[in-house]
Amino acid sequence: MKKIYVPDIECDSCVRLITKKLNKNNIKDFKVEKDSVLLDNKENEAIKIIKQAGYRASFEPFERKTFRERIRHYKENKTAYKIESLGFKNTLFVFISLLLFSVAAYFFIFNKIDNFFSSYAWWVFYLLISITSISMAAWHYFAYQGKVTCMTGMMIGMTFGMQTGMMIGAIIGATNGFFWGSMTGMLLGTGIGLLTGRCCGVMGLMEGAMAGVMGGTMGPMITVMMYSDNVLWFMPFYMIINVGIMLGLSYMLYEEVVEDKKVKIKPLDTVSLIALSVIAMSLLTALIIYGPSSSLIAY
Amino acid sequence: MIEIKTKGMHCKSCEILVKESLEEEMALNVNADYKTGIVKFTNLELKKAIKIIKEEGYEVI
Repeated sequence: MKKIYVPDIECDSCVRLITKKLNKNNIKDFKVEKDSVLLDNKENEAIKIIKQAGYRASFEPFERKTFRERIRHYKENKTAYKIESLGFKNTLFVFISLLLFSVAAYFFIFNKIDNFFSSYAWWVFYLLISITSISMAAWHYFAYQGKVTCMTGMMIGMTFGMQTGMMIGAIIGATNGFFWGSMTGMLLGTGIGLLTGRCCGVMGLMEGAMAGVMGGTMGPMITVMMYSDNVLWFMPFYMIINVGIMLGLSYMLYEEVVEDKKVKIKPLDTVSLIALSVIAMSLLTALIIYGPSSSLIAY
Repeated sequence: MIEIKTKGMHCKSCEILVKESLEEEMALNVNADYKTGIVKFTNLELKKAIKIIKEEGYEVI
């Protein structure tokens, strides 16, 4: 019997759907197993039918590319990474736009604040990096509309919820105190976790919301507790790791949802992306500088 | 447009199974949503649609 690898079979409904499709096309004597289909005849036709049903199918196992192989594949097949290439450009545009916005805000408004550089500058910079990385990962995620398995959907909701809460919560925690850091981190983390986790139903929603609550309260806890203990030395490492995780999320998204799969591509245009990022940046910067802060924070 | 609330659909494959089963019986404009459990269609008797959905292994509420 010839084996067709179908790694996206994940439940009884998938087995029933593939069985039905093959039967309908007069393919007999086959066996649908977890992750594969075994059959004796019409193998090429079967592969076509399984692919049309929305599953990856091949006579060879779907091996994950190593990081090196991925880089080489990217260089040799630029068209397969059209959205990712646009994403790199958009990241640069968003970062530069937020930087220009922050510099302009300093010269027009914040230079009147005596202790701006010592109290806020680093935190505004970290906010800029956080918003750039979160908005770009979200842009990449929303650019594709495809079939997401429960496991991948949970991972997506969890990473967005957790990282948004951790990054934004940590920054607001350091400038406005534990209460405001937790409230901001938790609400934003939960909101983004729910929005992104819903792709796979209630499991993703739960995972996104739980991660938002956890990350949103842990982020400010870290900076408040570390405030008098070298927090500014800690933050670069913290931000590099968190940005790395967001990049990893986009990498995983491509591998699990996009590669060799049928997806619709609908990216948000660059101008809207920049506008949304600037709105988020201005609201959170205003909260940092003019928002209420705990009596534990001495600004 | 007839609307049925179902229970038991949990993924895209479930949606396709329900949609195609109804379409095989000449239902039109079929829309099955596993997140809400709602199945909408036209051009098919309600009784027949319920029978088909149950035969596919899903509950009709």
